[in-house]
Amino acid sequence: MDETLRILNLENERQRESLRSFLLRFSFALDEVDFAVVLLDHGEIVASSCKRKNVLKFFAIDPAYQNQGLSQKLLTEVTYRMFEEGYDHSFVFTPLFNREIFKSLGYDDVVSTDEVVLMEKGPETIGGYIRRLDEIYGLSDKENGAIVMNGNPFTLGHQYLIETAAKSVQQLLLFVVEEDASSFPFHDRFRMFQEGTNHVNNVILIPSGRYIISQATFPNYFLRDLQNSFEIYATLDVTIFGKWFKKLNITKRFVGEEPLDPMTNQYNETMKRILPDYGIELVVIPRVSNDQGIISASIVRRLLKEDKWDEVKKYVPASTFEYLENATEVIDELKKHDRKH
Amino acid sequence: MRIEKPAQAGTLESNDIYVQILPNPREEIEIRLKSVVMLQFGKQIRQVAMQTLNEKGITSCILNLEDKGALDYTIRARIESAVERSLC
Repeated sequence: MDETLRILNLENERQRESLRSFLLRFSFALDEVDFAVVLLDHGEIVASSCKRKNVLKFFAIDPAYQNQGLSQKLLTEVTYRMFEEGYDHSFVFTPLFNREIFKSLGYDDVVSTDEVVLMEKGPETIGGYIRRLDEIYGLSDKENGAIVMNGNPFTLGHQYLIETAAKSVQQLLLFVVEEDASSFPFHDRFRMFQEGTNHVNNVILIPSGRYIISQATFPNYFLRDLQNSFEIYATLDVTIFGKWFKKLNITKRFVGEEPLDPMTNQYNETMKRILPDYGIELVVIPRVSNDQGIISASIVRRLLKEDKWDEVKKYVPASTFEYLENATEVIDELKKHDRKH
Repeated sequence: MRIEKPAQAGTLESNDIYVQILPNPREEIEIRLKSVVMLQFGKQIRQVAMQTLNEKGITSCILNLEDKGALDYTIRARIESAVERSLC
């Protein structure tokens, strides 16, 4: 055997294509990765490992080449790259049958489903993270409700949901999605939440961190129809919440009713199915409307693109409006791209 | 001498050791070891690591070691490489 290790140039369409067709054999659909290393035998890919940021994925070895220490070679390369990029923590998202390989390389389970496992390695893993949250905020002393929001941007709908939820629990933990996959950057969204919930006394704002709706819990991964692969991530994400965040004495999780977006609706259905197993009740709160209909952040983004500022006013609290008036750069960017979030 | 710049050496392959060296804000040497032979050789690996750092004149760093059953001179060589990469 005569293998060559090669770091692929992902800009090169031909190299990308050869990786894509190799991964197809494992039912993996190549998506956004920022690093890919492969082993070649006579010019053909026989093993691969990729990453995006600190998330390792698309680890695959041709069955004929297994048990020869190739996985260690590949993973050394990925580990080197992550270290060079300054990450001290990494995730791997992989089918269940690879669990032992990663366990032997020092990865621990975050959660697993029947098919896939999310594992991690680093100075702080999820158990330590949850304990630290508890120490910083003193959370488990109270009976908590939780709500996870993106707020892209923060609307009267978010405000209503928070006010309503806060009334029915001793303390409401508001996790603001930290992953920057949205038009409005995390820092700005967090500030809008702070200003828009100042009047609600029992709310604690917490950055959502790496374990709630993040790059790791929602990687695009499997081929098959989109619906099915989304279901896998949603299950993973919600199971993390049930298994680990429950330790913060969370008894209720709140969501807004979702009549518009099928993905969000499916995520809500997944919570309804899984959370009760962990002793968390899912509470669905009806959406609030104005004279134009249901309030949603996506409508606000559309109105901003169309420069309909008088309309925007009907959807957002004064604090958000003030922010938006000064957020020229973000809104210019919003107008340029036709992104969904 | 304190380590200022992160560096790495070695591999995750069998009979090797993967080494990361990092600045330590606490101004001391901290060795974090994971090994497949922790029970039998954990103490000895730490000794070799500490001795190597001493010889290199390092007084402050975090040293992450992931040992896959490396022999003493491999451990020594990998740590030396990491230190030299950090200092250059």
